Amino acid sequence: MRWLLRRAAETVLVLLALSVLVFSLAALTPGDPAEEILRRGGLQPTPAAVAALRAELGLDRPLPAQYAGWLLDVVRGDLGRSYADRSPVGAEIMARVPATLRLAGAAALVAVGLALTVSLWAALRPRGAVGRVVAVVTVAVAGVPPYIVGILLISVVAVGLRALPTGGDGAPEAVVLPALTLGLAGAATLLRLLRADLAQAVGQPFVKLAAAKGLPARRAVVVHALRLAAPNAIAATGVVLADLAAGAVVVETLFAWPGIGQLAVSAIRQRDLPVVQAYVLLTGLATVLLLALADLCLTAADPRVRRR
Amino acid sequence: MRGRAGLVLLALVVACCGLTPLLSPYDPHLPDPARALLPPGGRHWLGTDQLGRDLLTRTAVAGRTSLLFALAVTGITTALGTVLGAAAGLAAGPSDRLLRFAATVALALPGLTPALALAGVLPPGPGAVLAALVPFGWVSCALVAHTATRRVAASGYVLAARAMGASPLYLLRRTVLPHIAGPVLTVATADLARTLVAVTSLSFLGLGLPPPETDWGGMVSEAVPLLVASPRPAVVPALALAVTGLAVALVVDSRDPA
Repeated sequence: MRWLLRRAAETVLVLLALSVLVFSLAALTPGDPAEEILRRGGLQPTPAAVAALRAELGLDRPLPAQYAGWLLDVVRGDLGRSYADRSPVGAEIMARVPATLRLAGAAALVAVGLALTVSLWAALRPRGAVGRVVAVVTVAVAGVPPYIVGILLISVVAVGLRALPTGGDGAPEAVVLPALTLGLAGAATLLRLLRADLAQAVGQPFVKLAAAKGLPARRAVVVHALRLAAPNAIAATGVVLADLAAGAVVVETLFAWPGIGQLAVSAIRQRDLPVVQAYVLLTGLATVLLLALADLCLTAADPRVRRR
Repeated sequence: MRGRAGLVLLALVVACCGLTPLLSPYDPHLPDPARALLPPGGRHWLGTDQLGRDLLTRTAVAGRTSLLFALAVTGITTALGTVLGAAAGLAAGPSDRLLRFAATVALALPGLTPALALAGVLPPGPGAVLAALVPFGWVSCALVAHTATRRVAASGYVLAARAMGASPLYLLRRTVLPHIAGPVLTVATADLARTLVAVTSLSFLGLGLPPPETDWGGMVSEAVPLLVASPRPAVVPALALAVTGLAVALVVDSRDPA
């Protein structure tokens, strides 16, 4: 219980630090936001108009007060208004969330599913060719950026074989290539961990005993060895899923997938600060929650953690 | 064995990227619409791209930029991370906790996120690429240096040097750095792989170097719109980056004790 409380307190502290970082992005931006908004609205940034807008936005208050006000707004769910068209950022982001969730969810399935099946397969056939091939492939995938995997997949599967669409979110099968692109790197990371830990777990006396009692090898590995091998992989899954969410930016751009990542990239090109801030904040929040969730799963799977 | 294969591959890539621009008769940036999308062979070994530029020359020049930026960023983050991590490890106490907390916060912004945020506010250019990747890049190296330093700091000769009144700088330089060089080099290789991905990804998103300068990510992103009609201008730099990534990954893998 105390462990849980400490973990929760740490999470809150990290989120606060994150909010300070995101808020200070504004300070790094050259130029005055009020002037920027007026100019983009097609208005003349006269000193009087700028001063009025600064007062309206609260930019004339001292920085700590600005931060407090901004944080309160964010906690209430008000992420400010976009520079480009003065529309509320929160609504704009929320409209994009389902697409990104669909892509990231499918990619997570690819990552976890592929890692589990292949590592169990390799553990059941320790001297098989599959294991050795997989070891080389995981190293290769780890070093190659996802969008390169995506380009190669598009040129072979979509252009060469004409089997799947090259991009967009029109058909249900359109998710296959982006999800594969996004999920492969995570699959490689998890697979590497799980394979090493499983190989070690299979050698443990209690797994041998289970097999000696007459348990089928498959059951001994899947039920007994996997539980011992799981903790590292569970801890890594949090990081892998967070990386997935962050990697969606590039994959969404490549496949013209209408998610948050695409919104963020166009906002960055247009220097639309509130949208960028909202994107970073959302990614950070999702990551922190994912890591906390992975920690909780870890405690459930491995009681030894609780005693630390 | 794998590590050596990776090094050989990496040396080949570096040689290609370094020598081709010197030996090639073509300008990597000058468009020549009359010669657009020529197939490989004859005077253009890998053909030409959509604007008629020699693909081999352009890929090599872009590779040089990608590698130089990745090396520069990794060099800075490794130096910064080593010093900060080792200093925190030697000083112990609150600085330890501060470093751990910084690492936790950095972990909350995975992948390209911090670089994207910074690229979104800084004026574009080579400096922005460095400024976008350095502020969060040093953490991994600092953590490794910190752990290694803590182990070294407990040993007798550090204690002896301290007892003799050695200055912190002397301690760092003479007793700690030689012993943490191994793990630091390992994490630096892994960081190089990650930075290469990050640098080219930024360019791929159009947030890297402004044209005409380009790297592999920029070349790929220029060629993506015609991927269906003619994949070659995108696939050549993509393969170059894949081979380089594979080479670095092989080296990283061979240094990883696990």
